[in-house]
Amino acid sequence: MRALSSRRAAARPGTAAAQPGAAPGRRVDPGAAARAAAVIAAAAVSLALPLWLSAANLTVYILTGLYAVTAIGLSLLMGYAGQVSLGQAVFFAIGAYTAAVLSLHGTPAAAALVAAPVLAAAVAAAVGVPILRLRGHHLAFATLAFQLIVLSVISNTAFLGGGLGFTAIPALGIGGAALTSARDYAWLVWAVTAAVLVLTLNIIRSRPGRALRALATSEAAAESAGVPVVRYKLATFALSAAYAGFAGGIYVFFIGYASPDAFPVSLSVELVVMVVIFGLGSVWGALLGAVGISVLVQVLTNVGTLPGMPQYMPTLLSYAAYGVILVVIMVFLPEGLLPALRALWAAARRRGGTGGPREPAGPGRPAAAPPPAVALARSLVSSLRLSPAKGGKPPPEQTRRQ
Amino acid sequence: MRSRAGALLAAAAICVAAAACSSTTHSSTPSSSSAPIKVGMIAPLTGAFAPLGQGDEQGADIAVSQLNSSGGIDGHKVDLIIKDDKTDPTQSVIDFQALQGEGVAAVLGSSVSDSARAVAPKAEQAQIPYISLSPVDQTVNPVEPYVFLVPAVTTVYATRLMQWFKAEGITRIAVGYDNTDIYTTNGYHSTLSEAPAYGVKVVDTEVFQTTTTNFSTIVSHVAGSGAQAFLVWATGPAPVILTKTFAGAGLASKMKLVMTPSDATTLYTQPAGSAANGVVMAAALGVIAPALPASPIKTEIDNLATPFAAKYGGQPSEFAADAYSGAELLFAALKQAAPGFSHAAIQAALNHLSLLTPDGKYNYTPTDHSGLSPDDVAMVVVRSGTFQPTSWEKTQYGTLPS
Repeated sequence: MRALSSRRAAARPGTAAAQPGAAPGRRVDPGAAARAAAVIAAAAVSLALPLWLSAANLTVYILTGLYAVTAIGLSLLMGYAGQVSLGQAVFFAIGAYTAAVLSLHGTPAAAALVAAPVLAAAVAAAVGVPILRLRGHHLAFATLAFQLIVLSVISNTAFLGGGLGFTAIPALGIGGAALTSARDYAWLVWAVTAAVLVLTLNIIRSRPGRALRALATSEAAAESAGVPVVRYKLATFALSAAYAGFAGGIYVFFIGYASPDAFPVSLSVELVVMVVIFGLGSVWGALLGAVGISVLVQVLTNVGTLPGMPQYMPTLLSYAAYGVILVVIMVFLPEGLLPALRALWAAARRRGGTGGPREPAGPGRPAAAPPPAVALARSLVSSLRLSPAKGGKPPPEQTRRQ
Repeated sequence: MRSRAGALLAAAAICVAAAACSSTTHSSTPSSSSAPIKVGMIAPLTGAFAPLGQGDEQGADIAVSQLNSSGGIDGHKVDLIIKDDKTDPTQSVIDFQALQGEGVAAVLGSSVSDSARAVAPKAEQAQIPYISLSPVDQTVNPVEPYVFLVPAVTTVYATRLMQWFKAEGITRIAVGYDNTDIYTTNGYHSTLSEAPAYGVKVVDTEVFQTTTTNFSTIVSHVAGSGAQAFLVWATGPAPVILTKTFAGAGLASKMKLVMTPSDATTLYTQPAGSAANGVVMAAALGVIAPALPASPIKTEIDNLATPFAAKYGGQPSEFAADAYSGAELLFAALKQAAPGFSHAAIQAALNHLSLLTPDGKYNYTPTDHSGLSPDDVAMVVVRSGTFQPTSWEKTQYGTLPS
């Protein structure tokens, strides 16, 4: 991505479309080739994976991709725009229900899938007007409450299937061709994830992306610099909802079932974990978080039910082990895994003597001061600590800003 | 730096994911003359309904050990593969596909309704016999060829309740139900449809949620409704709180509090304590086994209860009895499907199966995949934390299933 970003940095702000071909003859960062190779390898491996995954693991693959799409949107909202959503699964649910209701009433599946992100974004834009005036914990609770309200409304609306939900939702397809096998869905999800990733990275490096980072750092300063703060926050909220809605639409066609219980608050919380665990403010981190958490949860579940495991094992692994892993990461690496691993990488390079001078912060890098969402995540974590002595020094941001 | 580490890590994570997900697909039906028959089970071993899953696992485990210690089926032992769905319908689908990949002969479904709703269509599509342990009427109405139901449909319970109301001279009832749960919502509708035939009028309807914790308003409504009995369709903590509120308001001496089979368990009686004294319930005959006269059904119940007490202590829960009965139904069908044990042969055997189990006498037909009748349901009363037959129930011993 370095080649992309340095080229973009040189380009006129706002021209986000990537130009094909190699970077012009400027000095090439020695790591660029490695990064490009890593991205291509990851893309190739993940594209080939569905060929040899079992049916159950294909489903995990598909769900991971859908969560990744949702998490990338949430990452944009939390890490860049600095707004917290503890109810992001509601837009996943809105997308799923839009696709389900429309297709069950005879709308072609593809059209229903297109409508899913549109409606999710529209709902986000509508509720965003009042609730995005809130900050920090208040905004988090408002989004949480919004999810609970929507789930409750769905449970009590016969037209939306009530608590019973919908089943027998037709398969996704265009005209006569339908996606019938899980492998088809896996590749669809791969393509969607890749498209969302590219789109999001482009947004971040565009003029609005820089404006977003500015407003995450200080809304007042951004506003005085001419950034339309309210409109940008709302647009980001709507875009993140659209991602979630699109993922929800694919989910419902793939699983063939929708009920309020399929989109619990715990899904929202898990999405936040995916975004935070590798470090806020990185789209790659959100992707890694979605993959890491999905795989971790699945491995723990599978191990817990291996033959010969005692009856308490599933509980032990699903709650205790999962919880301990999250707590350990948040206590010892409150910045997330990526910054920690990056520090390790840099240290290794210095020891090996291969690294040149330390690179300055790139244009893709978020502002140095943590956005309010980071401060919120840290304050939530630090409130879990038993004593400051055990957890190391308290995060300085707590005293610096709110 | 950020994007480089991110990209490299993405590549690494995807490779780890690939390794973690890799699993072999096992071949289907037993190849050699003594290879075990694989039977799958999806159970909520963790999550909100973990207590149900524990019962599922225990009941199935006892049935399988009994079968295997008596020589198995046609020389084959049964290998039970249990998957944890974490009380999450999405995970249930993953589990089902994993079981399908392992080549199971049939699947015993989760006792949680969302799971059954999500998985049953998949099982039907894959033409793998699915024996549902979840009391959802819609599972077998309309009938799907490969989907069979173990718990009675709510109309069977409602009919038994109405028989008892009529015998007790109760003509005005209040009904409360949890409108976020399929079983309880179905129960409410079955109550409304069965009541007129027995001269029972529903004078008050109260709606609450699984998570409701304050029942004082509901109880005061019911107190003023002129009802002679308060029939509650609920499961989990809500009925416990309701029972305590009901007793605390001094209503226990004025009207009957009536519950349904989902509460005929120590999970209800223990936390409800003395407040549950005198609560009447529709329940499986198994819960009053010690009081039953010597009969074929009592022998069946003891076949489960004796080893259960030895292995786990106490009485088998409703969920353990359902799982045990479901396993027995499946084993009876497997015996007829020997030696090929094909999915179609198992389905054909289930379609015409008549079998006495601890849950009652099943008479599956191609048009009835539920199989139980009101005679398989007992009207019991809670006395000091134990379940005793009502005096009316004792007059019904002549029609015990056999």
